[in-house]
Amino acid sequence: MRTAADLRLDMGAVDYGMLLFYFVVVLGIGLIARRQVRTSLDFLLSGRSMPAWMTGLAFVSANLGATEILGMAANGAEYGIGTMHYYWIGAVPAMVFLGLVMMPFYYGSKVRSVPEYMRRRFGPGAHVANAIAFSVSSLLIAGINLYAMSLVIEALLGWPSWFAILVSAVFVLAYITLGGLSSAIYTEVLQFFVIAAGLIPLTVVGLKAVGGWDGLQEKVAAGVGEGHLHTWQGTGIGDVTNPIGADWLGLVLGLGFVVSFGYWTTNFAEVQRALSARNMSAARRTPLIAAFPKLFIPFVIIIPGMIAVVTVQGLGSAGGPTYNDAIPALIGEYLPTGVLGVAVTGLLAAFMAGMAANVSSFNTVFTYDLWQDYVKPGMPDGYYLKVGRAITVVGVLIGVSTAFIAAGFSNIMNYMQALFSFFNAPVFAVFLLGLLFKRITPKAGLWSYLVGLAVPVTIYVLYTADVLHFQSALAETMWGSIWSFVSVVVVAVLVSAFTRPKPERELGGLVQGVGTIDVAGDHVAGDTAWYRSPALLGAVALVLCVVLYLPFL
Amino acid sequence: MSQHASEDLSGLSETDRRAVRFARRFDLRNIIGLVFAVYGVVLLVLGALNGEQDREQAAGISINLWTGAPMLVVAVAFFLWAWRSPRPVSELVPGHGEPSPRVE
Repeated sequence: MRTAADLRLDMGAVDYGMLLFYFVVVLGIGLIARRQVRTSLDFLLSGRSMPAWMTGLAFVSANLGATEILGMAANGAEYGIGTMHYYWIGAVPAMVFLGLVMMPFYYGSKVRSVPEYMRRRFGPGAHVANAIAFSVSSLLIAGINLYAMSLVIEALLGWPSWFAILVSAVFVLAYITLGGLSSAIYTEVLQFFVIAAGLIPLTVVGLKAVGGWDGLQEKVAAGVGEGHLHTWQGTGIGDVTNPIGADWLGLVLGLGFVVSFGYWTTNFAEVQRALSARNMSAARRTPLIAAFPKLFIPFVIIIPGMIAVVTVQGLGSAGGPTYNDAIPALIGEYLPTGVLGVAVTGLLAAFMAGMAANVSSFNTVFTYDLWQDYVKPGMPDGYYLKVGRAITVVGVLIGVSTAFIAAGFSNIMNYMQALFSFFNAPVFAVFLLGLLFKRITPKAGLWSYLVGLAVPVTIYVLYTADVLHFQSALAETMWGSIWSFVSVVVVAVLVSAFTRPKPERELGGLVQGVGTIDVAGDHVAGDTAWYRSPALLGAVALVLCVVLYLPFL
Repeated sequence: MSQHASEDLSGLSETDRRAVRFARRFDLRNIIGLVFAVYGVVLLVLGALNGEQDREQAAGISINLWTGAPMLVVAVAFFLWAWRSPRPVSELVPGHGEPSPRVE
């Protein structure tokens, strides 16, 4: 039986050379991006100059960190092909909604961050609360990414985890402080291709080793059960037999609507990539272009997880490697020197990009939404550029210390899901109401948001104190999100009934049906081409969501 | 195409012209191309040298050759793309041909 020590990879000099080469290139990207930084907007939002293909791929990559790759492969091993739900009813429909419905409000109002939209729509109270909550959550999640990365580096390369944490933190710090968001976006795009060049050969070799797709199906059915080969079978209400343990309504409403829409449409680490795009058309296409890789990424993450469960002995059983080790174990088993170097480089690159996305969104919110708006307004722009650089250093240092908080949790995926239920669900609910109904008042925005934050935290505390009971930690976070959403709606409606709304002339371009948003005014040559139509891209992505399910019903 | 690119630059100051040339030379597509070219060549050489070992570990597939060759193709595609359609000046020089971004 394999143990953790067996995960140590047989890295040759060539593999280390490839890893080192990548690190040098990334530092070079930092230096190149630095040449283009003249203002705080250049540093914190790439001067709003990025083409859509770059922001789109960065949008995918910012989420493709340590926890995503290892976590989704682990889910693939534990729950089988049903993990596709995270992509096909989770991420992609939410990304289409962001591009088609929400992005005109974000980009059209020229806000520089998601909290800034909150200020324009609801005023300073909700704004401060949201900016602080976002800053805290980014730093906690940066810590999780760092910690997850250090665990893998320790297992694969044998570096002590504190050393791995420090090396990667210093590295992220170096290239973000140099080139700001441009560094982060360039690196994310490069990383996307490198991780693909590592995961595709891994999937091909793994499939060949188990006798192709047919062989994998036979082995999975015999080894862990037929249920692992189906996505919707066994999800009837009251007749739940699928490995995830949720019925179709729970999947669609909980995972699909509240959790995924909350994450993809309001998480500034994602939305920021679109806000850095060069015009409205590119900003709207950012999540839509991202949707296409997102549709297919699970094939090179979840399928390796399923291969691992039938080839790695004792995976997920007591004393054996954990489900999180699925991809590292396969890499060690099947990839010879050369491709091995590409795969390890891709993994480490993904881990750093996840952390960099948190840091580069945190510094923007801190600089613009807290420092410039409330602490020291009215300074020359060069001052805020300096603040942006300085707070990047502070953010990384705090991220390192929160990595040690993450180390205290036995299951970091659950810790992360709990954080998402605290922070994403209430923002999403407040945004959706504020965006759709002009009657929602500033006071309603503030109080419903605060209640929406308090509810999931309370549920989590009661759950850990054994007062409330749920089927699993995952179920707890799903219900925490749903109750947060419901409480926001109730409080917002009640408070709005007794307080005064903002005058309509202040809401132009911020609320559905008030004023108009010009989605074509800043078109550049070629933006009217049919293949750049947001509606078409979104529709094709949604159709693919349905079609891709067909072989795996 | 490169002729067209240099035409773009005539109306710019010397500093801006240098900035545009720099940004185009170090276009992200060229950087991705470079990384994939280097990795592709390394994998092809390794695949040629230890074919037997590779196949033994990778379920009978010469995985270094089969990964290295597509990576080289991708590298060439990125170089060609960057060369055929350089980034427009308006993206690279702030305030060129459009109002400069609003700074509050």
